[in-house]
Amino acid sequence: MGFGWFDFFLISSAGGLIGFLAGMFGVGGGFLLVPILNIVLGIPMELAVGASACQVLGPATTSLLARKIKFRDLFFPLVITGGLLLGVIAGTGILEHAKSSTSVVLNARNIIVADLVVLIAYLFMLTGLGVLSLRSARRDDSELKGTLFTERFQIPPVARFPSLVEEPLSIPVIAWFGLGLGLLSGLLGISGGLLLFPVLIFGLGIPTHRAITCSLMIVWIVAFQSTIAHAWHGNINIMIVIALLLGGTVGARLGSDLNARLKGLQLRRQFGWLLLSVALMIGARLVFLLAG
Amino acid sequence: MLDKIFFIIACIIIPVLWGVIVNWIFNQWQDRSNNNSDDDYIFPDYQI
Repeated sequence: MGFGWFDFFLISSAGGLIGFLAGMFGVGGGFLLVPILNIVLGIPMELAVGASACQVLGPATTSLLARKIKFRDLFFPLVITGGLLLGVIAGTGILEHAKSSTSVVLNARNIIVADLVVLIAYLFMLTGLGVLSLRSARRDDSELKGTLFTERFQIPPVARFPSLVEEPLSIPVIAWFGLGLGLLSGLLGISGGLLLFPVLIFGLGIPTHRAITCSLMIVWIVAFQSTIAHAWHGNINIMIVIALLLGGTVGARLGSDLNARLKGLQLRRQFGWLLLSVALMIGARLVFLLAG
Repeated sequence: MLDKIFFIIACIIIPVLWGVIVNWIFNQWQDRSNNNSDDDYIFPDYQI
């Protein structure tokens, strides 16, 4: 697939807009990037997913370098890495299978299987997260602390991570969570921060500032694995990645400036509506694909 | 096969290098701000 300067400018502008929203809400923005690249700019789904997974390495590297990482901070990310790797392999495998299926005929229309699989997965994920975000926007930050996984899912063997949380954490639960996260990253091209951050804070009870560092390291690892897997399958176009890196950096900087001026409740409500708006856009695209 | 391996390496190096350059630019900017102002500079907090 060839790109001219105009396409490069369009992709870079989309990257800038998504970077702005991502910086504003403190997320990676992969969940916005893939639907916009595919639905609005018409980039094939596998290239949109591959570019999204690859470009995350840029901002993730910047964020990690800006922090002083200690050796003990690596324990949790290393435990989750095995599950992540298997998940990424499974996710890219599903996308590859969908890609090789080419198209199916539904209602006398040819539908690309990869588009259908990824859009349906996005629709469910964004609708669920959007509803959760709007529900949590009714409560104050202090009411949202929880330790769901440390209290209810203590499946042995357990391990202690003194730098993160006092209670021991179940290694199988961490590995299965990594597997799910890796699968979504491989299939959808998301960095995983969108799911990772609430699970670390509300599920495992890790304090916010420690969860940010932990989340960043896991995001870097999952992006690294996902980039290798997508590059291996030929799902990455370097020019798309460069355009996204250029636009995304400027947008993220402007967005993070605005983030400091907004309150947590306000941010969660707006974030919830943003997720539901993207889910609505994907739903409309699916209706168009299926019903014509 | 070798082409594929080089392509994978390029896909990793380009965004990582970009991340390192952006970090270097912000560090330079931070140093300059510290020299020009007595106020404490707070590094912008990125979260992925």
